[in-house]
Amino acid sequence: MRSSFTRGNLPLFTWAALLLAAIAVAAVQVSSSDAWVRSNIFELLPASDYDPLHEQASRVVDAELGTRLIFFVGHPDRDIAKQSAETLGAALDELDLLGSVTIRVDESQFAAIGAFYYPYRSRLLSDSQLEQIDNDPDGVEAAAVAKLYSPFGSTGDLATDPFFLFADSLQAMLPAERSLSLDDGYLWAEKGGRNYIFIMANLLAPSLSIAEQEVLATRINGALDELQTAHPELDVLKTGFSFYAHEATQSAKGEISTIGVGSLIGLILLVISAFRSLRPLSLIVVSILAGCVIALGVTLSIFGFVHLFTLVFGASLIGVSVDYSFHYIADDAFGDDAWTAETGISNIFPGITLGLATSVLAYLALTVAPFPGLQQLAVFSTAGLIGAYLTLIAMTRIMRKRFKRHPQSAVLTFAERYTSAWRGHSKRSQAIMVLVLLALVAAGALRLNVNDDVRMLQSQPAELVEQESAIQELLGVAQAGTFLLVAKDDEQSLLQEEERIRVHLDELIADGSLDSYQAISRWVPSFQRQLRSGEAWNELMTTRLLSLYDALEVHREDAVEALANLTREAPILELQSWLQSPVSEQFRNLWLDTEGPESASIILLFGIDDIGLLSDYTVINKGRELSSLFGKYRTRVVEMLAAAYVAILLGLAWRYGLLRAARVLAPPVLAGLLALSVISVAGGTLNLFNFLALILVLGIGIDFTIFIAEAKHDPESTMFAITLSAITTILSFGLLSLSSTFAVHSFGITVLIGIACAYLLCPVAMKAREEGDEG
Amino acid sequence: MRVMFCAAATALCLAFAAAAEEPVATDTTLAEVAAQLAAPAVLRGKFEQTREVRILSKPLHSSGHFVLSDLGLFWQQEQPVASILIADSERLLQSVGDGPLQSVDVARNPVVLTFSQSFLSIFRGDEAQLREQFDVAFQPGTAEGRWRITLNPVNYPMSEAIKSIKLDGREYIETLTVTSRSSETTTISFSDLQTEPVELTEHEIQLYAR
Repeated sequence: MRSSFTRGNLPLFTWAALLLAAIAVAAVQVSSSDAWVRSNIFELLPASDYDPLHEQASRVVDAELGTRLIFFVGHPDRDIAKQSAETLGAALDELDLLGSVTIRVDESQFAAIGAFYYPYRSRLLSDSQLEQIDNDPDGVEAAAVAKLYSPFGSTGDLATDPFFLFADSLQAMLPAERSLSLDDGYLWAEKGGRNYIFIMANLLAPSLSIAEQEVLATRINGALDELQTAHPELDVLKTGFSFYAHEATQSAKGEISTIGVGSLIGLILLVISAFRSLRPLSLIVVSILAGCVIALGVTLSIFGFVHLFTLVFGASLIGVSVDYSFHYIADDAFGDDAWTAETGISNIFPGITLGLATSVLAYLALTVAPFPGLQQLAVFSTAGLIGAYLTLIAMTRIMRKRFKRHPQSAVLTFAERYTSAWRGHSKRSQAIMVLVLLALVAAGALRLNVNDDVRMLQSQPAELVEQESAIQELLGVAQAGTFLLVAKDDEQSLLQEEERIRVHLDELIADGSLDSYQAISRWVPSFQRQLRSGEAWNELMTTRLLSLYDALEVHREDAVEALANLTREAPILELQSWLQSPVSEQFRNLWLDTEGPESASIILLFGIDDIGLLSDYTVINKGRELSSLFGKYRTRVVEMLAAAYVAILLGLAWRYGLLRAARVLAPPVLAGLLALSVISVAGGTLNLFNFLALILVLGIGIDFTIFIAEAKHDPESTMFAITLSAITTILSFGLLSLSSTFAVHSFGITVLIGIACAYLLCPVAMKAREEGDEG
Repeated sequence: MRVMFCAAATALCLAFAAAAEEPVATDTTLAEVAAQLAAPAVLRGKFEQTREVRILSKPLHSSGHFVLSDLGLFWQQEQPVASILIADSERLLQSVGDGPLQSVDVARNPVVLTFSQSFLSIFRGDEAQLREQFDVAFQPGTAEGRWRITLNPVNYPMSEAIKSIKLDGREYIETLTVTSRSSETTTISFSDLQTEPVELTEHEIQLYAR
């Protein structure tokens, strides 16, 4: 196979066909869809493996989270705050992306709520009203009389609500909120001498394309800048998923160009310094470009889009994909006069093929975690590497001129000195070094801390985080994000179940463990509850109405008529009529539209500290779920790595014998452990991405030792190529470690340290070979 | 970003309770009256209230006395049933019969708070505060020195409950007439108004401290 593939024009044709196909696929995808590059973080995350209801509840929650934008416009002068809020509101109104913008509260909605519920007033008595009617009917009557005489305030209609219960029932249905106040239709909060007006807007779609994010951010920031210029004392706070997404996109774009351009410039400088010639660059650049195009084409044809996250990681592919070219160029440069492209390719073929195989295996191992983001990354990288590999083999068909190394090149000098330094070391000093390194690993293991917080996936710009917490403070409600999913066989059992749960939630509120909650049954009590309320109402009317009316000297016949009306069976409030009424608009999405006969709803929780308190219920917390998923896959990756080490050891043992195999495998294994230790000793925490990076440290690091083990002539030429490839890898992943996204940073820093160690340790394999030869 | 959920609750539920401080254009004669009302540090007197309620054949009569000072309004109804109301700009306490004085949850009863605050503003002649909540019309009365001020609520939730408030007086407010949206009227007449002693007596301070 080797002979047929590395000779003749077959590789050239294969490569050209693949490249053209990739270009064609990429061109079709890019031209047919605006959304071929995406940045929505949710597309990176695994679909949860829960039942459809859980899934549906999560979608409702995601849509809520994803579409809402909140602003607070604050100024010491209330009039300026109003004007500024109106100006911002007008700017928001002009945005087609926004569905609704609320600056002023429509006061008629309060009247509408009253009008909707009034016919059902006997069905809606609150807990404390029911209790008072049962235990202290005298008190109910006395309170009614007091209200009737009070100079303050409206009471109600003595004929249809004689004990003035409705206002209190209605208020009990609405959670008490103290932090915002209504004035002149605006919702106000006060802080630091400024009067803030609350503005809320909803996006029409739960996720925005990159172009839409840009439009949204530019227009809003433009409007805010103008306001700020006009009123320097103005303070505008904003929060919303889209703002975070936009910031993430901006920083990803910046990082792609930093990593891409940085890697390329580093590469050019390296090539110039090593070869004093730009000619090797032609081979390298062609191989990188072809690799990237093929990676993009394959990714687009499989996924239909490419995520920015993939591109950030993909930019580091440059550093890995040049390795094959380096080996070829080094072999050429070190070859004698009889060297031809065929000699070169057959010299390096076993090494680069084995290297490609292990790298591809390492990348494919990334797909062990069912994160679409990682799967795409693996596909992109694998395709890119195979592309670069095929490019090299194809190019050797047409490259005729020899490469010359620069005899005084620093890289070469370093590689030679480093190799001979290793040769000079005794077995004993190597053993001591390994012991020292193992001690460092042990020190790291002692300080090992893990953190699986899902927020590491997105950069968290300090400014946005601060504004979000300022907004939380103004709203006086801690963050939501935790929900209870309630499901029952039918609607009524569900409402009853909610009522049972709410008893517990009310206790938690009384304890201070929970701020507040929203639940459908608060606005639509179960039939059971409504009937109970109706009985208490009738009881109160039958026993107390006439005495109340007598005290007020109501005509007897009027009193009797009123009693008949008040005890006539009242309509029962049906869930469907609430769902169809405008009064439920803000809350009806808590009701899940199930397809089957069962019923399900969501209870939103605000400011819950300890989820353990809710262990009896189905708690949904997307952030927590993902964090625990990250933790789960972190463990799985470690197990898989261990299995991979064993499998690779066995494979290598078959080719090299167990002792040499161990020497080939030891450097990348030790390098990976060292990377984790260095991070731990430096006080960092470890997450899934550090461990995923170990897969790459293994994949790339073992290339180094395999190249050494497979080297056809003196180890200096191999070491020269390995040095070049280690420098480029370190450069590109080093740049990745500068990322503001913690996950990307973790990945980069681990590969950076790991590859540096793997490089420094790789001569271990060289020694092994010589000893093997001797023995 | 998770704050956003609260917003749904917010928009509907928390949209209550008014606060205001904003001076607007002044009306000289009204300003004079307001200054006059604001002058005494302590005002005390008796009240008689008549309320017409739709289905009642006779209006409801009640009476008692009150004290107005820096500490707020102390309103003690003696007939036909005993009750006490204590209101300041932030809170409202009430008791019925011999029962304990209980704090009204003003967050849940914004109408009551707004009303009691307006009441305080009326008695104190706090014109700026009144203009925040009402359209204010001033009419000189027929007799020498008499006047009528008509207040029409402009803001929710007052506007939902009350059609108008009419104040008649000379040196002080003598009659206050509240007409509700359902056209029921409450008339409160004040008599025996005293501004001496200029400071609260020990006994009066005790009343507020209950």
